[in-house]
Amino acid sequence: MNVGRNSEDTLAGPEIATAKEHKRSDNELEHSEHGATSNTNKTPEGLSIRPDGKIALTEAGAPEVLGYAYPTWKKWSILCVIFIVQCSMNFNASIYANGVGFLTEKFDISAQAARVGQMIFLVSYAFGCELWAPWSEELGRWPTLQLSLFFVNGRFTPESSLTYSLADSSSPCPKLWDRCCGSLSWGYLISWRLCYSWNGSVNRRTR
Amino acid sequence: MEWVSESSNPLMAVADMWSPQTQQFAVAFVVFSSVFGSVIGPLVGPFIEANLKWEWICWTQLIFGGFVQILHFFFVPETRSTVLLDREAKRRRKAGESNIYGPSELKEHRFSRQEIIKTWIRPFEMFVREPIVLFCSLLSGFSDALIFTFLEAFTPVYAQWGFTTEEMALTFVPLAIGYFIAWASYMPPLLRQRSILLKDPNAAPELRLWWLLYRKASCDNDL
Repeated sequence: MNVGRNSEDTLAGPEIATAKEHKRSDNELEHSEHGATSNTNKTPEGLSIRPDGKIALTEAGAPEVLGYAYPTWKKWSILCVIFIVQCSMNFNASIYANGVGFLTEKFDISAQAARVGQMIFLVSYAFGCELWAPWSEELGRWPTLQLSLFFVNGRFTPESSLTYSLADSSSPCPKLWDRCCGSLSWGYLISWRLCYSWNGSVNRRTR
Repeated sequence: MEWVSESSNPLMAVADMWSPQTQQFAVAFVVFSSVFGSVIGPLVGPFIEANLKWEWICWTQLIFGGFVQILHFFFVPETRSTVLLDREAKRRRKAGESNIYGPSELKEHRFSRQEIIKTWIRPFEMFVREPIVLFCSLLSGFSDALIFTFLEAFTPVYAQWGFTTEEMALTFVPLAIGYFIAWASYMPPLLRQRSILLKDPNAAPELRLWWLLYRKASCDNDL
């Protein structure tokens, strides 16, 4: 059963995958319409008329507005920005290592303790995406990433003010706490890449 | 846990715009950006560490992050199909076509708890029910562990040779070059793969993996 499903998904061509997606979204629509599945009529243009008389626009009904239809230059300019976004994410992640020395000196803690922030970051890296996924699917990629970037960049405002007001304070707690928060939002940002991903993976193919 | 996220995200970031048969170069590009990005930190970081106050680690992050956000704000349009269909439906209604609605407009509960939980559980369900997801994730998690351990190992190794903090940064230049070569090395197999998949979309999915096999072996030998 499992093997059969797997190979079917993996081997599906674009047409099959698209058809499946339509079927899926149609099912969802019908499901939300009190489970009235049998009354839906499909018109050839990819519009389906629902029992309540509303016409649902599907991917087949407007292929020209989808991401697939973007011209090549537009797709690649999007990818180029994604490239830089990814670099920024990984930069945030990897430059933490250069802060470890400062943290140990400033707060008189071990290097291991200083790296706890990075650890929290890596864990949230794995799970933050999960939190973003439904919003990326429903509200779209653009607002979700903007919000995520807003959290990441916005965290610097409290952080830098804390940094300056606590510059001579000997207590590591507020700053470490802040660092952890920062790490969490990094996690959100970086793992946003995943919310992009998992759902697409389920809808389109398994690989 | 990192492999949870690592395995599929670069493969799927392009799924909104490319079909599985034509996405090779886009996928390779995104994957390249993620590994290439990881050496920017060690390249830039030591210079900041040696010459500036530690706050500058945060400031460079903010500058880079702000720049990226502005770039994304202006140059990346929406790609999610349901959102685009909603917009198109709205446009058509305005143009006089009454009674046409996009997928999200027809959903009664856009954020039902069940739907959200289903989305959250799905990746873990796939670990159990889709062996290919599990094994690719394990492979990816393993190579990530290698990369991070490797990055950490640079400092103590080169410290023995008297490298200064700034010279330490330069040791990552070969790594960046290596990533670039690895990326380039994928082009011929991807071209072949693309032509096979365009002719026969049902070609054995394993053909996507063969170059990875050799690359992985050589990468592990290097370490």
